[in-house]
Amino acid sequence: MPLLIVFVVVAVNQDLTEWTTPHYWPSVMGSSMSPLPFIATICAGLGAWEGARLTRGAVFQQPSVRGPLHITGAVLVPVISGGLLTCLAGVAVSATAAGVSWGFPDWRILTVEFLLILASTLAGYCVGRQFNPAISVPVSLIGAFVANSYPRSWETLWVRHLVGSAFVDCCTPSEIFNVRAIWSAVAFTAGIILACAVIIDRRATRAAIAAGLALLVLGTAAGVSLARPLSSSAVTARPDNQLRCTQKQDVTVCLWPEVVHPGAVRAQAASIVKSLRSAGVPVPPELTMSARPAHGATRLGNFTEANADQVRSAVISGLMPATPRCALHGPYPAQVAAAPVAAWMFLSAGATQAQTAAHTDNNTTALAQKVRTLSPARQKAWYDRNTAAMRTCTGKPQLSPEAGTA
Amino acid sequence: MIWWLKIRAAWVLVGTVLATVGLGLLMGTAKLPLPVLTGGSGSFLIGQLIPVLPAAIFLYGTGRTDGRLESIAAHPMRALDAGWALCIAIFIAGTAGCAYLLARQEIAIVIGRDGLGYIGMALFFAALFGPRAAAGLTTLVPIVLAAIGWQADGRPHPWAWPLLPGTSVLGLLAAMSVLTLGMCFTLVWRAPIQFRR
Repeated sequence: MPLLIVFVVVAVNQDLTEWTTPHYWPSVMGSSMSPLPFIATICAGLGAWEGARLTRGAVFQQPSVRGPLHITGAVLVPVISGGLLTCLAGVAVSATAAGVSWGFPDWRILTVEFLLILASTLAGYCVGRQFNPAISVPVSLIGAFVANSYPRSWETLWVRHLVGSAFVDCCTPSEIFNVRAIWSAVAFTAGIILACAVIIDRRATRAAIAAGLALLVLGTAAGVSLARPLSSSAVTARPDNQLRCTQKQDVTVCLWPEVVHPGAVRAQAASIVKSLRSAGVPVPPELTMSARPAHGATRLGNFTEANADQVRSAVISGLMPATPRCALHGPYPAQVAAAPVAAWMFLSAGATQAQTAAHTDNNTTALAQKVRTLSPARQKAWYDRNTAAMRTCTGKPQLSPEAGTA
Repeated sequence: MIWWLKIRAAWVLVGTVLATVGLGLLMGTAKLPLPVLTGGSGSFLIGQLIPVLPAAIFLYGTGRTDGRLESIAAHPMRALDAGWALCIAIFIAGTAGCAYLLARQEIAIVIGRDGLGYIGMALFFAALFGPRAAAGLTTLVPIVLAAIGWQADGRPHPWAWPLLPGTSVLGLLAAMSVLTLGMCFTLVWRAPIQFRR
């Protein structure tokens, strides 16, 4: 087990740290689940080993004061607690990487991790009780490994939720864990755990095996019925009441509490909105980080740390006209207008030429700069003309600055 | 000799080899998505994991004997075990070769090569730690390699031989050398007596 902790900290370090959203706890918990297939696999193998030792020692053939479940528990406690410690090491590594504020890890995810480890260990133990360790240990290792890692690549998308392997992809700041996915994993693992417990406690009599199978089917059915409606992701939109909104000048900015330097972000957003409005761009009165902005609000990115340029890019991408639905399966001539319009908005919002070129390219930036030399009224006409074209599938954009003068 | 083969679970082993190759052809190319050491995640296949099964059954057969009794047997037991391992390895290679000729899938070569190498690993670990622990250790080899055996661009490291593609000559040579190494260890090394009972 100490070896396993070293393995997690060193070997899967990059996976634990690479995809975390800075300063956001759910993302920490999600990333910390990436080594779980390995941990559960090792626990299943060790469980099988312990089970085989008890069988070889003929422990259960002898009269004993303690019940079978008690004896099993005593043998498996080191395995399970070792697995759990390794999970906590994973949490520590990704928490350090994300630089989250001090807090208690999400106990729901820790519970799912614990249940998955317990289920793997007990299933391995039951296999180990039955067969020679030369067979049971490899079979448990392979079985647990495939069961814990394979569903994630399956085309039937909901299966992965049974073994909780979709939490790894969590989360951007506007997402939280889907409680349904958590319950689905809990139901499935609880079925396995209870089935194993009954079989161990009743010494694998026929009735016990029947009851165990019934529990297994019950748990799996509950897990499947919970997981069926889910897509591949185990997240939902974060409730809007966690947003922190303040009004500055005449724009309201709503940020998630995890955003670093919220004051600076608000000030930057307000000044960007001011310069865009003076250039003639209609900006709604509210900028929000909510996943589903209400009417009269526009989306303000999905970040926790951002510099002025990133805030500008977040505001502008929220203000770009939405691509119409018909463009998904049909011609969309206004596609070419997106980059020049964005570039013009960048320049209008006070970005330098180099910053704009970094977001688009040099030719687009040059075109946008030519537009910027026109009179304010003609710039506004250029913007209105091209965004109107972008909202339909038939409108043709007129990007040349000279167009529309005749 | 019939008893000797019986206690080594010869028919179960033959069946396992056939089942492994068959299963590998059916679902061997299914990928297991895994966290890995380096950024580029490789594709670890089920076909690289299940060839452990023949090695496990081999260890089950050789391990259920009474080691103390066999150590004073009239027959050269260790030479026989090494020879038995070689027979099984040749049988795995032959089955996988036939499967490749019939199905023309690269995974058949991977299964044959990895099966060969895992038998070698099994012999090596059994000589050091006894057959029971060897089964688990042999299975850990592909699982650990699946986590640490990838380069940044998603290709396997040359030393991670079970992960190499079937066309790799290096992989085949590595598997054969592992088998040879395992047989040598079986011939010369004695596991401590407490592991052999």
